[in-house]
Amino acid sequence: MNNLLLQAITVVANLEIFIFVLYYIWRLRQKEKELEKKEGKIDFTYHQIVDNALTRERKILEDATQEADQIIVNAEYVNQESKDEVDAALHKMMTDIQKETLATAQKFIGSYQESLKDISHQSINDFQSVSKQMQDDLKAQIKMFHENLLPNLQKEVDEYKKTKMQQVDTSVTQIIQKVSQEVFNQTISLEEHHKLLADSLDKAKKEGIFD
Amino acid sequence: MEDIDLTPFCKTKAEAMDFSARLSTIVSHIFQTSFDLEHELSQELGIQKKDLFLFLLRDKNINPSAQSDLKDFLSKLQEIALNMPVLSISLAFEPKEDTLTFLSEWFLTNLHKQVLFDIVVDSNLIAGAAVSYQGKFLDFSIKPIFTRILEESLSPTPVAK
Repeated sequence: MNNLLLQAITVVANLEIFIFVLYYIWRLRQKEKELEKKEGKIDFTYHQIVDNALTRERKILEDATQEADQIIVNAEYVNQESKDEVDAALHKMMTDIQKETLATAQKFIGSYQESLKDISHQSINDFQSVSKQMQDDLKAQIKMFHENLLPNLQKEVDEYKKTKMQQVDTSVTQIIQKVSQEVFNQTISLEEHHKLLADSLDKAKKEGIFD
Repeated sequence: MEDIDLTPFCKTKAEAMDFSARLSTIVSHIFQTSFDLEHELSQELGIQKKDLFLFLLRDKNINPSAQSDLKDFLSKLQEIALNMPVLSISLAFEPKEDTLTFLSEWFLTNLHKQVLFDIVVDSNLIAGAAVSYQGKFLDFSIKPIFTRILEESLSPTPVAK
């Protein structure tokens, strides 16, 4: 009996569990369907939003592109206009500078030529005065040379000539003497030498050298 | 012994010193057992002077065999050779033996003594001699006469006004 009770309880419990599980599964299925529905909705909303976003993005890009093109066109227009203006201004500036430079250069050349003229006049005057001074100095020196130095120089030259001539005379005399001695020495024979020796010794004896 | 004539053996001072040295060599050999005077004289003086030396020994009565006498004689000769008076004489030419003999003979003939000659050759003298003896000097060469004549020839003669 207990076993039957126990079995009955077990069966009941199992049935309850089974029912519970079925119910749970049915609930889960419901939930799942709801979820799928929601998901579908969300998905639809998402796609809608994305499409809207894409559309708006395309629009924005188009607008931006259009505006950029406009800006570029405007900028190119401004750039070309500015360029033309700058060119014109530069051209004008260049022309002005050229004119001014030319004027300044001519003015400078004129001033330089004037200065050169002044300097050359001054130099010529200075040179003339220096030349005159040098001329006067040279005249004075020449005069002094003629009066003082030239007579002394002449005198020194004469003395030098005289000294040199004396030296030449002495040298010539010495040479002639030397040559004559050698020639005379070689022409004397041994007998004549002996005779002269004997004469010398006789004279020495008479002088009393051997006393 | 004082009048020994050493003219044949030495005429100049250098020859006298050489002669004296050779005599010293002979003297150093005298007392050797194998001493041979003639051989020694030939060796030291030559054959010609050996004969003259032997003649001198005979003339002075020196016995060559008497070693002591010979030694004394040789020593005496050395003394005479080294103590002979020296005459400095300048000649204009290089004298040979005959000139030295001539000079020696002149002294022996005129002054009866031998002197040694100290010869100096000076070609500037031209001829004759310059003599210096015992502190006295005289120039008997013809150089002064020659120089005087040459100077007179080379000097311009003054033009008579």
